[in-house]
Amino acid sequence: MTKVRDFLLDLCKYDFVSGYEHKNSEQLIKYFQNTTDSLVRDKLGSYIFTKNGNNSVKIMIDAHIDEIGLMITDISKNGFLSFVPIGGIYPITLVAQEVTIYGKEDIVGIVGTKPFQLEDKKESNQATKINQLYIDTGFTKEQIEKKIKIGDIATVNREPFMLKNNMLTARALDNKAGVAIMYETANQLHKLSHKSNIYFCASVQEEVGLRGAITASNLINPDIAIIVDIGFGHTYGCDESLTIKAGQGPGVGIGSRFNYKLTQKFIDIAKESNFDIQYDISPNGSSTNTSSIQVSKEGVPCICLSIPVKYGHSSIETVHLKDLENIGLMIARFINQIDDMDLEDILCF
Amino acid sequence: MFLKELSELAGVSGYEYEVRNYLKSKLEEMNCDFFTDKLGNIIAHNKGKSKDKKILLTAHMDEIGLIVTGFNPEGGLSFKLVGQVNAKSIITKVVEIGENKIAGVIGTKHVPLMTKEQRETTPKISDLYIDIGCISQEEAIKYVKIGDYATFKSLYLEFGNNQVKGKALSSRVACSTMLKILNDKQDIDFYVAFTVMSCVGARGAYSASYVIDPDLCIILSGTVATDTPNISKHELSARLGDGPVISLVDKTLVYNEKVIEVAKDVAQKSNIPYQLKKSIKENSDAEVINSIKTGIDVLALSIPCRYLNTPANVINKNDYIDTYNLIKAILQNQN
Repeated sequence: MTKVRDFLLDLCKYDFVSGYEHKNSEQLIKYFQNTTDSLVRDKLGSYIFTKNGNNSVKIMIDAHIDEIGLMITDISKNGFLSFVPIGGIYPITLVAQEVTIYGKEDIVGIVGTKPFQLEDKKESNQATKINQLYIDTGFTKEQIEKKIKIGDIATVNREPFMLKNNMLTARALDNKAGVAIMYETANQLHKLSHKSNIYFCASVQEEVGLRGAITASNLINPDIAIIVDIGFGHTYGCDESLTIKAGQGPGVGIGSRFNYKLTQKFIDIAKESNFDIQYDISPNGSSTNTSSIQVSKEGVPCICLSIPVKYGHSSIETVHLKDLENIGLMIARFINQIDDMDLEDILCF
Repeated sequence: MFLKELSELAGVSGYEYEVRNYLKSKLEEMNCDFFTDKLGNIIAHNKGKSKDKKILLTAHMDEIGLIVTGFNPEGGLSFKLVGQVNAKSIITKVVEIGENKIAGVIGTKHVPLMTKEQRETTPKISDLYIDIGCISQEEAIKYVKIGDYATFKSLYLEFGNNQVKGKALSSRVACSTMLKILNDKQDIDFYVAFTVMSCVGARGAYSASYVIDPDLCIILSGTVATDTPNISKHELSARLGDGPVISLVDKTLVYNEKVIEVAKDVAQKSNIPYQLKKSIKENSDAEVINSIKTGIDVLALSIPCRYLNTPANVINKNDYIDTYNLIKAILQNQN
């Protein structure tokens, strides 16, 4: 577990906000350099690392690299900044939160809100809305205008750290946890043999509309795709049928977006190898890249594996390192087993 | 550097040990006389030329935080707030629990799994819990116990134009200022009380002021700054950068205007900026001290502080320096 832990303790320090995933590219590339054969980027910036096999089967593994963030939209006359969310930011998680704005220099700010002593009863009962928040950088308008501009992006400040039980907490485990799984799979496949050609895709702009996955899939034209993203990690008080538990393996997607027979094959192989799995029942859709990859080009059969992550879309996303390691292993094993399968038989209707 | 070190220490109201021990060690280094009273206040004596008036300065040591009340079956911790915590500011923050500073995160249900009503209202404390990574109560009990105090993890940070962010700044700026004043070793006789439990009803202030029974008590703390957006004109009170704040009136106390005039006079003569606190929505230890025994004259000075009652207080360093200068000047003026 130390490999995935060290990967995340490092990569989670760098911002990859949707639309700005090129900024820290070397920090990502360095982890796939030794285990893959080539890298191409599509026109939106998705990273496609290819590991060559010796037959014509193409397997795409997708884990989006982008994360949610903020974009500065106004500098008030007193120097306070207004902002809009990039992706699904929850305003309630931002009150009194330290942030960094990436301008000409990195500027630290505090997200502020009205003192609660001045709220009336109604305001005090209402959940914080984005228009009630602003960023305090400690500078005047004239000073801050020299350092940042409207359109600059920002992320919350949260260094990754460990809780008990090999649980890791960080910002943007959605979906760096998925990328960590791809890293683990790549390392495993480097040791095993495989006939298929594997395309590890760290896609961009998932948080703003599942976009990089379409362009990447169109470029790769895979025979099958395995999508890894976060799912609702069970927390106290949640309906157990709507969540997946940390430490108990991936939530395997069951529903219209996921190829039925291929998914069953994955489940069979996982169980034969004594891996724990759970189910993520999603009959009417998927808020992951599966939705766009499934209907790219002439259609792609997909499997989706959800990682149990608690407190999604906050600065304290929490994951069990054991899940990351196991899911990485499961995918490697599945790919290994595909070599001896009649894939056409599984995929034909 | 006193303020940075003090800000990062744990000292939730009722459990001020870490802060008290730090202050005691600093006072020992300075060779300053002090004792601790029956409630845990430190009372220091700066020996010097004595005058007619017995003067006491107070600064509270404690901060707002959380206290663990129980465990849920899945290893999470339920808690209560200690002091006036802005409940909206604690969701997804990091805390440190107990003497071993066990790391935890304050979590709640996933927003997409909430009902519409839950999403639109401020989460209740009973819907929040601290997650330390344990998956069962049996496991969690190995690391924390019911009654453990938790502080917010919020590091001291200098940013912007002379601004400082940290937790507990309202108390630790006051403590730090008092340490500096005692360290100056002026030839003036006065007492300093580092008090406990200010955030939960000014408890320490009772015994400290009773024991010393001064003629004048100057209370130093933090006050809500209102120089941030979305505040209406009639609610405006203190601003960062405009100097120490002199209280005119608090929830239950109308300050003696003669005491205020002397303070304003000293400030003007020493060229120290000051501002007046016009808001009445905060409590002060002064309210308790004023009616101890047969009554004590009080002067409440505050440093303006943004985002008070959250884990990320913000002050301006110039206000910190000006507050120290004003108290020094008032002490000298008494002589």
